[in-house]
Amino acid sequence: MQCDDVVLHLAQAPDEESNDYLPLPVRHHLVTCLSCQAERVQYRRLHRELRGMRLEVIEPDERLLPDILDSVRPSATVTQLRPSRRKAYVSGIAAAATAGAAGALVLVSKLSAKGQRLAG
Amino acid sequence: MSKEIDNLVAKAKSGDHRAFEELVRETYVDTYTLAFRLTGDPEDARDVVQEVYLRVHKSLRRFRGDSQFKTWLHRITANCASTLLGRRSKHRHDPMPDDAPIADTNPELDPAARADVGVLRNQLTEALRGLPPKLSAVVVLRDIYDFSHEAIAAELGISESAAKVRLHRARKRLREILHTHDESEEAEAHAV
Repeated sequence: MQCDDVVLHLAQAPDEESNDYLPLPVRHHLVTCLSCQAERVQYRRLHRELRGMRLEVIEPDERLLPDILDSVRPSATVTQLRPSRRKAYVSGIAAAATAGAAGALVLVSKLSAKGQRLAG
Repeated sequence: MSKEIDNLVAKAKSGDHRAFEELVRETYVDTYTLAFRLTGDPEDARDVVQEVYLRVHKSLRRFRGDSQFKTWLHRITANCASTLLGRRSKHRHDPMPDDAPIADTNPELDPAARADVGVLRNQLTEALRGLPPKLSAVVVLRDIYDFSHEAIAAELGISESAAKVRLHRARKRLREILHTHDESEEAEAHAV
């Protein structure tokens, strides 16, 4: 068995304390191969470090909590959007409505002008 | 703490909104931490956390308590983050292809920090952020949060075998970081 093949197995379950989960040829290889033994230790160390990260917390900025509470308040109407985005959303709708109304006015005035020309 | 959470869950399920708010206060930092680890971006993490609590608010009555509340919360967070990242990848190219090298871990860039005990942790954190999201998500959920392969597959919308393959690739990349770290420490020891 080649070291490369063994390493594939080692990466699969670094959290296992014993080698029982490994296929027999891999276990035999590990008994005699110092390089793979070292690799096994390193995978366990990596796993330990990653597990240690579970205790770390990443602090969010202070706006997050009020934003969450705001969005789940029983009286909240637009619950899917957070306040900053809600403002942008409402502004967007207002802008679209204004543009639509202006477009309709232009269209109506053009049509009425055309109608007057045809009538004349 | 767990009993306190269970109490709050029970009250919130029966419609006590103050209890729900308290539940949010007790858990949102942890939820944000997971969301940040999965998305790698503070704004995305905020969006995920908000979406999580909206979902929790809507479906808390359906929470049967078969698992711990925090486990349930983590699963919803993983699902929301996966949805957000999936949407993102449809709109923009992933800047990090699967085989791209991991984040620059050259220890020479910050020699002073190398003396710090937490340097390896920092390197791992950076390396995790440098992994493509689909690889980092799996290793975060499995190795940091202890999700089962089945749960990872369910929340990320992939097969169990895909989850295992991704996990293997992610660990291999992270293992390379450790290797670099050790080599640099050895070199430093020789220099001294």
